[in-house]
Amino acid sequence: MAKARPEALSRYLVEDPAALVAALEANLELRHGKTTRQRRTFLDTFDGSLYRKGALLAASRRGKGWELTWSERGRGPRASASCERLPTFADTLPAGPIAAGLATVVGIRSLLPIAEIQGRVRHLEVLDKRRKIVARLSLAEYDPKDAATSLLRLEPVKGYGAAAATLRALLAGLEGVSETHDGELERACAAAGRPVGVDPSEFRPRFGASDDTGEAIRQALGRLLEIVRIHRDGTVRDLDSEFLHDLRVAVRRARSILSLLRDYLPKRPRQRLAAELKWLGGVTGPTRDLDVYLLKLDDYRAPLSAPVQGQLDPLLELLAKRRRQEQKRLARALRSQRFEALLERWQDFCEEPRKEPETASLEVRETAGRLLRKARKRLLRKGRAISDESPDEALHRLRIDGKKLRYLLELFRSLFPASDMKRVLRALKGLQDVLGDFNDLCVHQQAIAELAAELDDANALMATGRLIEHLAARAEGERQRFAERFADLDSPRLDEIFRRFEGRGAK
Amino acid sequence: MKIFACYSIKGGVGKTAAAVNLAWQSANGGARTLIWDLDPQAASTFYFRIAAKVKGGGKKLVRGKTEIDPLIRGTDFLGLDLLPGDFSYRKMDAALESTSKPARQLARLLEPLADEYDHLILDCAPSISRTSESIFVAADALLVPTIPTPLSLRTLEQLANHLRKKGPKRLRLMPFFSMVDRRKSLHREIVANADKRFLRTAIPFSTLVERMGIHRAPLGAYAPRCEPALAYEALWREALARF
Repeated sequence: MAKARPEALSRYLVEDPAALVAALEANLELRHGKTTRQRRTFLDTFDGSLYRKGALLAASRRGKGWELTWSERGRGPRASASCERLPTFADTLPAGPIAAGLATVVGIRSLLPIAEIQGRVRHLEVLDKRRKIVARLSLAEYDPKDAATSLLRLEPVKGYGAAAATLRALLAGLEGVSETHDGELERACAAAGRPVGVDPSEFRPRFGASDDTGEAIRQALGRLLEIVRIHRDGTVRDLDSEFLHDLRVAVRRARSILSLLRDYLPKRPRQRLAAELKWLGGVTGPTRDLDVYLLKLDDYRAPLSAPVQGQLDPLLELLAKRRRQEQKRLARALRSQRFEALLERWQDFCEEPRKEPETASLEVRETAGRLLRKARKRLLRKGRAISDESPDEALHRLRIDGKKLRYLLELFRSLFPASDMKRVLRALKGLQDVLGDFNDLCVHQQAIAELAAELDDANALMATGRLIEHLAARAEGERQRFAERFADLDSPRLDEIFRRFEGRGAK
Repeated sequence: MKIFACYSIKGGVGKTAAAVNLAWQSANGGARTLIWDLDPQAASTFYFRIAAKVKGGGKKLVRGKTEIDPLIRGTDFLGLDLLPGDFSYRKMDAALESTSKPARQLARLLEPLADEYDHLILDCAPSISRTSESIFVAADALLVPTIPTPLSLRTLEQLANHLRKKGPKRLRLMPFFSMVDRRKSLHREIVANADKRFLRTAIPFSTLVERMGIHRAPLGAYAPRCEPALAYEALWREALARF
């Protein structure tokens, strides 16, 4: 058994709780605390960000409200707070250590109840000769009782590592007591049959180098379909803006696969699915655009003077109102017959195809190399043609080409050395960030100008004018950074990596 | 991390009782709290049933030769830890004197704790000395328990004058009335005429506070709704609100 850190929690499965308590009483100074009925709801973001950061947020009923406890996974609780309602976003909690901890981890994602346990918990305190608590034990019997086993938690007290070590040694020698690594959350999730701490929007298909291209594409599209399905409910219920975003990214990836790999796919079914995905991209677009305005506006207006910032409130209200309307429309679309039919069509497409072109049986590694080279070549050709005089439009088109290359790289990631992939993706991300910000700033100037025309408020109009000026200046700044970022991608080092992708050049 | 020093030039004014109970209030409010018992008598350490011993001695600790974290003990209360007192703290002045910048030394020692705790409460030994100078530099607020008598007010004035001339500008002086006996007209008069530097909540004289030595626990643990416990709660809220 690995030596546990002094303050780390230990957990044990206990077959006979009564025998355990008797054995502890015979060897230790033990104080019996309360026995409580416990019902704990674990909260996390949809993508399990708290769990992946090693944090655990649990809520229990306390009077009419809730008591929240924040712990580091595998450690005792670090902080607690009470609240009237379960928090949905980090900023819905009063200021304090939990709110501060949440803000750094969850960002703009909402907190959702992900698992619940209930049962009876006996609390025991291990005392030293001063009758000071040197370790805490809690013995939980959860419903439904699984295999008549109880869970014992040993929570050491800081600075009393020796007492915890003695206790661990005692427990290790007891029969019917065995150490386990799973805590309540893991057990509750296992019982509910849901994975814990997994990002449900992760797209990392794994291919073998000699897999058929057609088969590989179907596998990838199948995973994307799954992502869309998982995110539909949260998008309809509008739990946070990331549900829609992740759903849209999956749709965009799928569309991009259908278009870039069209030569390897059956023609008619591909066209039909692509047309429906285009519709889906269209109906989900307006809400996402408004989300982005709303998310960015605080950042945009921060450098403006306080009075001007205040005068922009009507614009924010208008955006929020528009968003509510668009969200309704979006929710309707995602509950429609047409959407159901789309999912079915998508599913069919991922299953065994009828009329595949011969190219579908080519090895995926070869296909990948060829497509990547083509996509990069195109990006370089267009990028090199860009000068200070080029219209904004040229940069926007370049961004689309960059995105296509990025999707291809991420699709075929498993086929190539991780270090090469990392380097290429980093260079590309640098470029895409500049182009993305530039595009946002241009589009947002336009959109804000159009919205401002509807505002019946002179001050707000003036303020939007200021805002647009400010955005234009920022866009210019992004443009200046373009050449530098583009050079990272247009480098001999990357030439070499792409040659390797194609199976040419030194390994 | 905000640092509150419970400090008084005079002894026996309810300083340790305030440090222990305010630290409990802080932790109970959800803040990660550490109390450092700087008094060689180690009374707050005693209240928390913790051994009054610092491994390696106070001198090494003060000079920065001992790592602080392993010395910290968890109390019986969630979110409240204690750095124990030690009899060797009686030589703290000399230990500080042997460092390169004695006045800055405590602040330097406490820096690594800033990420671990939201509030640090220093339970200081009575006196005005090299150690108190170092405390003034490290602390954000000086909580000064004051018994409502003319002599105590005079001592407070001495402290205020000293801080005005030599104290760091950022340090907030927060005196409050302690051990107030409402049966005494003198106490009532002085409390009623207090200037605005004083926190408005006064801690009443109470045998319940004295009984902390028998229970060996903060008031909140055994009499959370009693008058002095509620007074500490209000006092703590008031002290926080001054930031």
